[in-house]
Amino acid sequence: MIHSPLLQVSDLCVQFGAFTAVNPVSFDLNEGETLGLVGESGSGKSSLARAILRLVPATGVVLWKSENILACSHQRLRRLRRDLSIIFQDPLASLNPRMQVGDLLAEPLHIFEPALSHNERQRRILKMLDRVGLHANMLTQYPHEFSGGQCQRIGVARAMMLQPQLLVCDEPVSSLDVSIQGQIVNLLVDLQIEFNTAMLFISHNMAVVRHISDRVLVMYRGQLVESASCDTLFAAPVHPYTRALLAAVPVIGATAARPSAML
Amino acid sequence: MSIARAIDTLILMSRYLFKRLSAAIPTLFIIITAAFFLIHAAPGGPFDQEQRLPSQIVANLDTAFGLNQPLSVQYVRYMVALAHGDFGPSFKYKDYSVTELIVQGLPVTATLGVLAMLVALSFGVMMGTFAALRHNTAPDQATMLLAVIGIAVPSFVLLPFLGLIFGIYLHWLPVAGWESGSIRHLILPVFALALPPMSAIARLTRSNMLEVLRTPYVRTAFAKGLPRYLVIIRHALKPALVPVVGFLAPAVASILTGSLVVESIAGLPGIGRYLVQGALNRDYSLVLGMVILYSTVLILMGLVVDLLYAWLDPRVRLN
Repeated sequence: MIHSPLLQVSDLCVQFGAFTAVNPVSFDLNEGETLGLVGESGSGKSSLARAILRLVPATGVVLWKSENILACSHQRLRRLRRDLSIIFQDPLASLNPRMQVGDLLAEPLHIFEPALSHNERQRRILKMLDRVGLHANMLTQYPHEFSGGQCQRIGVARAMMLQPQLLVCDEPVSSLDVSIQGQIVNLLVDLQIEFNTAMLFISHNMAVVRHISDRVLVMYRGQLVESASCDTLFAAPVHPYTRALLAAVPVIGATAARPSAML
Repeated sequence: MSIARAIDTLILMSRYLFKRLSAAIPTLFIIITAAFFLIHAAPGGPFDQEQRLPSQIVANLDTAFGLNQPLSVQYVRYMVALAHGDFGPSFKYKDYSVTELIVQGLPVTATLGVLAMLVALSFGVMMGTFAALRHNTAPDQATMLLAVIGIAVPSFVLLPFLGLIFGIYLHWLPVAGWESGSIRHLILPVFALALPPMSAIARLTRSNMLEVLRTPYVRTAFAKGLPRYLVIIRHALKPALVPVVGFLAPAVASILTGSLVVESIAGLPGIGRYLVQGALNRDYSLVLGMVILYSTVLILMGLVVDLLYAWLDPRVRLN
């Protein structure tokens, strides 16, 4: 059976003044698929992620179920956001410090399911809170009372509240310590399978990307330099930058035996 | 649980208010003491005139008002009377006590001041938000130009100018007068009084709103699919207002001093003129009465500001 892709990005460009953050970039994303996006800092990963959801101005075409996100009306865009979710890099800064966690989580329900009764809304929030491993008594607390990992769990709960079809993860674990990183990644993967959500997972952590991705895109200076299935990419990288990136992964115990690849 | 929480908040709140208000008493005491000795240190006295009065009459007046006694005795007598709520007689407005003068004029000044404050706050915040949302466009620059003019043009220029246009050429509004607080008479003075703080608030709101609009949590709010007005009202306005709240006390001070000029020009029977006139006339009790009134207003304003901070940011705890 041939699916048309859920998300089709073609010739996407992001320009900040004279600086080009993303040069024409094109790729597809299928239903339920996990696409890894790797590259060094400043390579345009985050700009690309935000451009897809039209959070920064961009040119090109982003087809979501054959509807161009970049060209639709603002009202239409807001309605689409129900299915398009994003998790940001800085978990604490991405939560409004003046709102209780319960209110933050209720907000998506208020907008997209306004007919919900108070009790039903509360039930949905508690269920999601439990699903991401937080306690019900945290609902009346404020974001600054939580650890980074807990904040990102709140971020995940907020993003998955309406069971979106696409989840963009913009380096969701890079500001967390390693033991917490694994928990959050596993949580994301579990929820993704449960809701059959397609995921664009951005990271500079090669191990995490390798662990969860079906396919991997490699970005360098605003351009996609390589796109391959996860196994192929890690087994036989084609582009010199990809090789350099893989070689840069520190290996425990390795001394002089490391392959040296430089650009 | 929410009721218990509300009661807790209420208890906490009243305890806090009690603490703050009792701390205000020593502050007031110091202000009154300093003002008392400063005004008495100024050369001259209340009964000095171009035409010198016969020395016997001056001596009699001094005796009647207790001015012939040592300053320390006068100070103690004043403070004791004050503790009983007696602000003393005015030295210049014969047969009036300071309390009578203030009670007569205060409603006018208070009406004018409160209205000016409300206008300054509401329009200032609206203008600032509007400009921030249209950052670097012509409407933004026009709003900010207006704000600069508002800060730069003094009210003694603005009010006659407005009176000329709206009163004399267009015949829309009266130029001056009070007529027991009719709205038409209030519009021009309120606007003239509100314009400088309004302009400052507009500029403050704009710059803070611009900063807040770039924060990650506002980005999150947009990503959630909130319509723009809700992002502004629910997520951006409160943090953008924090510095504006800090400006409230200076704004009240600016309105209090501004009322002197505006009331004189518009011929309003307020108390704005008493502080300066009283100081020039060496009307000791009137000056002190005004100092006490203004200090109390500013101290209360400081308290309001701290309560607003706590409301705007739940991380601020009242202790």
